[in-house]
Parts: sequence; C-alpha cells; structure tokens
Amino acid sequence: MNKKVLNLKSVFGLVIVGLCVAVFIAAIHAITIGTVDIPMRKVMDVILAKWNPENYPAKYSNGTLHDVIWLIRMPRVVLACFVGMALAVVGVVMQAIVKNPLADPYILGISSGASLGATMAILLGVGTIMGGNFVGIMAFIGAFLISIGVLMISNIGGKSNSVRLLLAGMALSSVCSSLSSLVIFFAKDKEGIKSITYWLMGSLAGAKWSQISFIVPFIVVGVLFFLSQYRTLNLMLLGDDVSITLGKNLYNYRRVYLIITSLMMGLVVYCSGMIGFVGLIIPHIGRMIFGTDHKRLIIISGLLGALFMILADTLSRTILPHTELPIGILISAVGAPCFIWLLCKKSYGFGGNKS
Amino acid sequence: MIKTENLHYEYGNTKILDSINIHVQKNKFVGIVGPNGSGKSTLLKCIYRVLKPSLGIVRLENQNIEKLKIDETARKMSVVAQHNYHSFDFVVEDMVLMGRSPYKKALERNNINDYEIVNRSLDAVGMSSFKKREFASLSGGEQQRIILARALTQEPECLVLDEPTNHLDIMHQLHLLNIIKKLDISVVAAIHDLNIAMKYCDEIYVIKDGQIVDYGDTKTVLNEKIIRDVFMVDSKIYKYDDEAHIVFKGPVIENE
Repeated sequence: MNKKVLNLKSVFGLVIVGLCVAVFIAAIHAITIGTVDIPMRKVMDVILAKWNPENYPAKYSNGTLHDVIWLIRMPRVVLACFVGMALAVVGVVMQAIVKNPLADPYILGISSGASLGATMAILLGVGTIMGGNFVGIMAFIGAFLISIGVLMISNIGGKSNSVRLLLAGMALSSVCSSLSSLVIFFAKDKEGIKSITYWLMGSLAGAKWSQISFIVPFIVVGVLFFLSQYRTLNLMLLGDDVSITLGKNLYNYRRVYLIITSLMMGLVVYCSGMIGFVGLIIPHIGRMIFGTDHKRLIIISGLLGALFMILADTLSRTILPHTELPIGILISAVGAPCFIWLLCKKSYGFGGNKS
Repeated sequence: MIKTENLHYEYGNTKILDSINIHVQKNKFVGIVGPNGSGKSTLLKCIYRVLKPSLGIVRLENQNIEKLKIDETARKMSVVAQHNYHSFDFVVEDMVLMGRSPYKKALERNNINDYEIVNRSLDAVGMSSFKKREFASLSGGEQQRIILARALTQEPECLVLDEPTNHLDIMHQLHLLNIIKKLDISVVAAIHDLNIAMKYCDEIYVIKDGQIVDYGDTKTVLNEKIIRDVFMVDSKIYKYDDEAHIVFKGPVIENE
C-alpha cells in the first residue's frame, strides 16, 4: 500500500516538473517565432544578457534584436503564461465555490461587468482621464464591482450559498448586458461597436512590462493562496451541511475566495480582455489526469493553463500569414471540439455520475 | 454525551420543535422515531449545528455547543446523513481522508497517522479493497459505508445518524447498522423503519408534531398503542427469542 502511495506521489512530481519544463520551452519557442524568426540560441543570449551584460556583445543589450525580443515578444509570452495560469486556477476555484462543473471564471458577473465597463469607456468615453488603457481600467472596475454586487445580493434575505450565488450572477448579468445594449443602441457609432467586438474577443497584443510588473504579483499571490486552501476547496464540493459536520463553515471562506477571484479576474480582464473557455476546460483536463483532490488539481491546472495559453497565443500569431487571429476565436475553435471529445469520453464523468 | 435542553425551533410562525429534551448516554444507541414532518431531522440538524435552535441549548459532554468552535464539535461528533449525490467525484481514499480535516491546521499536511486511521476505518466498514475506486462508481450501500468510514476517521465519541439507511436495500441496511452497533460509541439516530429501530435501539424517543410523546426502553415504548396513536397504523407485535417484530395491519380509519 505504502509503495503505491509513493508511486503516485513520484508520478505527480514528475508531471509537475515535466509541465514546468514544457512551459519554459514553449515560452522560449514562442519568442523565436514571429515576422522575423530568431534562433533559440540568440533568444537565450538576449535574456541572459539582461542579468550579465558584461559577458555579451552590446547588440544584445540594445538595438533591434533586443527590442523585438525584450520589449515586444517577451512581455507577451509572460503575460500569456500568467493570464493562462490565473484563468485556470480561478476556474477551478469558481467551480468549487458554486459547486457546479459548468462554472467558469467569468460566471459570477465578471464578463457582463467587464463588457459594460468597456462599452461605456469606448462609446461614452467614460474614464478617459485614466490614461492610455482606460478601456481596460473601466473593464476592471466593471468586473470587480459587479462581482462584489453578486456576492452582496446573494446575501440579502438569507445566507449566500452556491445556488443563490449563481442566480444572483445571472440576474446581474442580464441587467448589465441590457445596459450595454442600451448604450450601444443610443450611441450609433459603428466604429465604436467594432472596437467593442474586438475588445471582447480578448487579446494579449497590448502586453507591456509596466502592466506585467503590476498584475503578476497579484496573480502569483492569488495562486499561492489557493494552493494552500485545498482542504476547504475539497469540502466545498461536498456542500455546506457536510462541511459543517466536518468542522468548517464555508460561508466566510466563500466570501473571501470570491473577493480574491474577482480581483484576479478583474486584472486579467484589464490586460487581456475576455478569453473564454480556458477557465472551463483546463480544470476538467486537470481532473482527468489527477482527480478532483484540490491538493493536486490547483497546481496542475495552473501549469496546464499557462502552457495552453502560450501555445494558443503562438498559434494565433502564426496561423494566418501577416494577420493576427484574436486569441478568443482560436481558443473557442480549438477548445470546443476538445470539450466535446471529453463529454463523449465515458471514463470521465465531469465529476457527476458516469453514464 | 448529548443532551438537549428545552429545544425550540421555529420556521416563520410554525413551531417545528417544541421544548425537546433528550439525553443520549455514553455508548447507548438512541433512536428517534416519528411520522414524516414530525421534526426528527430538524432535531438532529440542531444537534449537528446545521440549524441553530430558536431557543434552548444542545450540550455535548456537558458543554454548550454554541460555545465550542465548529471544528471542536467535529472532532467529537460525526454525522452520517441521508444518502445524496455530489456533483464532483472523489477517489474513495481522498473522500475518507476528509474526515481528518477538523484535526488539521491551515497548512498542515496529512501524515502517516492520518493514513493509518483511514485504513482502519475502511477496514471497519469492510471497504479496504475499494480504496482507489471512484466514489461515484460505487453502489448506494457502498457509498454509505464510505461515508461511515469518513465519519469514523473523525474519531468521534458519538455518531449522529440522520436516516442513513434510506434508499438502501435490507441487506445493506442491516450491514451498515451492524457495523455501527459494533463500534460501541454513543449513537443518536433518526430511523424510519420501526422494525429496524426495534432491532438496534437501546432507547427510543417518539416525537410527533415537534413534541416528545414518549421515551424510554425500546421494547416498552414501541407498543401497539403508541404505533396507533403516533403513526396512525394498526399493528400487532410478535415476540420470539429475544426479538420483537411489528406486523402492520393497515392505516387507522378514523370514524367521524
């Protein structure tokens, strides 16, 4: 028996190491690809030259090569990595919070709040004083406020639980989307509507180091926090009553988790718009590999999300010559068939009962 | 072990429980019987802290449970409730391991001791060979035994059973209750089937409309008169060896 436990543990360790290596290779590979292909060796040199400029020729520390790698491609790959990780981990947590395998990170008001914020910013010019990325900032504000609103509404007239949260989320979502439609209807601004549509498809093209250095700490802290919460996340799947008999009242945990996930998702929306499907499908793939136990699921999903996002972004840049396909389109196009395949596969019951 | 003092529970204006006093002594199997809607489950939920009584207190080893933290009660008392489905699947071993969570601090890991307790509990319910199976792939009776194993890993001093054998066939009902009977810990159980109650309970509380109608030694309390008054059923009790069996004749037809 003991031997078996050890075996599973070492397999798990190997998979984690393997995924880390895969993420690293995918990232470096993504940097080499673009309008100009740069050999991997040079990419490594430019990155290493950052730490140790004396040992490398000056052209690695400034100049076109340096700019392309360090200012254009690197930020984008790093952003993809952390956005993917955040989406996958928040997806796992959200599915536990609402106890529903269909939940994704956007379900509790994030998507509708973000679209309302972005629509108001683009069509009505709300928040232009906030500088260059005011659309992103407005989307962040919308997403964060609406998800806190969902949390508050679910607490009115009774304690919030997973069903009340879902219902409150749906109610606020329809309010927000009708408001967005209202704004679009009265604005009659074709260009604006087009840019909203683009914005909603999600993109990592705007990545900048200044953004990254701001959001990455939040995402890393959020992911580490949820890594430490595996026991409570497991209990969440058993429901409120069972958790009480196992010594945990989920009420406060759920509130704290929702505030943290709203913040993480708001930041993701701020720098990449809305990228669907990753947060839904990656948690399920994680469960297929190592089961529902969150002790393993969180880290597996985080790494898978990062890897998936880097690969998807690379593909979206290269699949069409001279054009960049919005990553949202690509992920849905690739993700949906994968999801259907999962659905048809009998050995995975989406957590529910197998057919 | 468990004592309720003057317990009331109101939902809106309806009284569900009305001054309930029960006392579960150490290592006794105490049954609570009553018709549907009599308040059995509500009473147990007040005891295991899912519901908060409107009035009155529940004592666990003479301590008011309101004064105890929720993980403290979970270390002393565990619950096997009605069989239900979960929307996510766990491996049996992980499911049973969750019984250790009231003992764990935020970042504490599972240790050898925890795994040994899990193995012992699975042994006790005869499910050791199912350790690596998926919970959802088990039958209803097997799932309830796993839930019992999880309750045992909490190393409780008393066990609350909230109609745990509902939906189980007779073999699995007897199997589950035999395991529990052998544990020799304090048990308080809501039981639907009067013959099952007769077989396993040391003492019985009969409740109807939120009030205790009668209580005491099982064989004295469960008599033809009380079955007629409380359950509205005519019956005859037959005795053989040490056991008694209730044969139901049919519902009481009330004459105007």
